[in-house]
Amino acid sequence: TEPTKRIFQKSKVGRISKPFVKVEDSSRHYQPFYLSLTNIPEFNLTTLPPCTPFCPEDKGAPGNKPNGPRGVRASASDERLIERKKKKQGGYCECCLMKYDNITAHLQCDRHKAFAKSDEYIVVDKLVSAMRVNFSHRSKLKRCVFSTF
Amino acid sequence: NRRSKASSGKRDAEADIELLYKAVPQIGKVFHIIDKIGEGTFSSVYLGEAQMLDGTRQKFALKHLIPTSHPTRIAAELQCLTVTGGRENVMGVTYCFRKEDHVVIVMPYLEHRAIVDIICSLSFEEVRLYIYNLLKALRHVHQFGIIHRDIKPNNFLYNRKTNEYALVDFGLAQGTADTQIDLLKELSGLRKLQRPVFGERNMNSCAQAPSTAKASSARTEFVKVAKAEDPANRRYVAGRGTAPLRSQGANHKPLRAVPPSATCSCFQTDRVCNICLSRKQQIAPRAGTPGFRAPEVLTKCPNQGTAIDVWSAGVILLSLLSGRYPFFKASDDLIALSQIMTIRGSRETIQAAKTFGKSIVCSRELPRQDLRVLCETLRGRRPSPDDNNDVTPRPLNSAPGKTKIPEENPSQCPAEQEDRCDHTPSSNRPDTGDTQMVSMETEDERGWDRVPDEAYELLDRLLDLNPATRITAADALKHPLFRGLKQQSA
Ligand SMILES: Nc1ncnc2c1ncn2[C@@H]1O[C@H](COP(=O)(O)OP(=O)(O)O)[C@@H](O)[C@H]1O
Ligand SMILES: [Mg+2]
Ligand SMILES: [Mg+2]
Ligand SMILES: [Zn+2]
Ligand SMILES: [Zn+2]
Repeated sequence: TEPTKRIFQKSKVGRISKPFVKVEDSSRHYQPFYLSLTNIPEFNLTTLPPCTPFCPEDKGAPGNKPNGPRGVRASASDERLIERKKKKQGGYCECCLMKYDNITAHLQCDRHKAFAKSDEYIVVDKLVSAMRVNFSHRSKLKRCVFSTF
Repeated sequence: NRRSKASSGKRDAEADIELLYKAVPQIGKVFHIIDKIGEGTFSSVYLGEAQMLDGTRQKFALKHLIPTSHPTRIAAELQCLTVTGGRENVMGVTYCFRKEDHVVIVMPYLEHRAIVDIICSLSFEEVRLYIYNLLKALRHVHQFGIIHRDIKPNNFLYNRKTNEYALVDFGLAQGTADTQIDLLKELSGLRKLQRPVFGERNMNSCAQAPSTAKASSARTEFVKVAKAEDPANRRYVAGRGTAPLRSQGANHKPLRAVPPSATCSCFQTDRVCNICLSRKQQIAPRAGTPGFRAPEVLTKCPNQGTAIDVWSAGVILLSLLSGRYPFFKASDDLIALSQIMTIRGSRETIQAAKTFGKSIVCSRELPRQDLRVLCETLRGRRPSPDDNNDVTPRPLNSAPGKTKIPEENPSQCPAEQEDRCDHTPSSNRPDTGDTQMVSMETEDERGWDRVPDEAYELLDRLLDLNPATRITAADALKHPLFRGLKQQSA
């Protein structure tokens, strides 16, 4: 909510506005990362149990994140719900080694379907083949021991 | 509108159950799925009932993993359960179903309640036992060279009535260098295969600093495939800093020749410049939940061990002793780090970080807190310092960070009522002196008037900022706090 601060942070180079926390590897071979906070977190002894003693306002604009609309509060809970659902749709597929926006669509794409039917899962099946259990079938009178599936 | 939300939630659950029956038809042949009981980023968990060969009906938890999980990751989770589970407070595994990319892990069902719902009504003895049993589970998995990485109450199931405990969720587990879990080894080997994917310039693709950095990056690339609760984590570990500047500077080959440290003087100052900002980001495992992450995780220390789980256990103990859950609440690692500094002290944190190769600059000095005073104040057993100046009692609703509005629904069943958190710090309490007395009395009955020093001493050892000196789970079990509890073999 302080425009000057925002602009400053976008430019990034220079003095980090206070209060801040900055972390850097002692080797100095890596990019430092830092955060300018609107407030240094303070625990608030008058908050009610059982909730956190830290105020939600502790969030600040992160130093290294580019256009992050952080600190922008999701006003309506509906919006947040939708956002969360959307977020859940997207992700990264470890099988196909790619990002996707919509999981349902991704799971149906040729690349993923090919992986799903591939031998890659032998590693799982091998573990499963060592397990024995005593479930009985729901519908049939016939009973069976499970690894016969 | 609560009711419609609840019913839409139910509809969603029913739809998900149908989808599960469809995705893995064998499930329907064995189980009657009663409900959906958990939903995370990487799995959904259902409660199912099955008829057993001996004629009994038994309840099971069915964990349906997200089909985008790598088979080796799935197998590693399964192997952690099969090798370590079923004893020492680690959840066992009953069976596993697979159809193509859909995998469902079947476990015995342990009924439990969310910690937030019971935290205020726990007795000190229950807390002591809870932590003891958690440490037992940790000692056990650590013996196998497993770093769980996601120790938090949601992953440590607790049945208060039966005194049963179970560590669950090895979905983020990693092996130590000498792990006995083959598939965790294989999993960390996978990073090489997967590297090209993450080829997004900013990862490890640019200038590799000599010697140490090379060695450490080899150990740490894995994070890119590590799962985390936060979808952002899974996408790319170093969430921070795919900034515009980065895309310009990332492929600057010249950096390779010049030792970056020689060319800028921002180190340990309040400054950053184009030179230090154009270095590559350090990659280190950081899967887990921010509020439970150890300082060495939050600062991207590449060498992480089982001590990170012990830290998380310390955060849980802090939570239970202070009656606050979550204790640290942060969406960002550096917010979490500064919250830690407010409790453990900024100087102490900076000092400890040096020992694991990290420089922290904090623009304000934050004093270390006395753990007993802190916990007792947060429990409302001591006046908070503000109270002295603050004559006007703060109305409940305007208290910062408040969550519960008392008795919104008086027709609740007594069992639930009993668990509600009704003790609040005096300054927030509506002026009903009686209730306060009663509440404090029941607190005393639950043993909160005589918490031994050993509890805070152990807490201090679990929350040791330095992972090298932090107490191990095995040693913590021998702590005087647990005197009198049966020491079972490890
Ligand atoms: N064996 C079990 N018995 C009862 N509930 C379980 C069991 N396993 C998991 N759950 C419930 O499901 C939730 C999610 O399971 P978990 O394995 O932690 O998956 P995730 O990786 O999605 O967090 C748990 O927090 C717990 O409430
Ligand atoms: Mg979990
Ligand atoms: Mg998990
Ligand atoms: Zn895929
Ligand atoms: Zn610099």
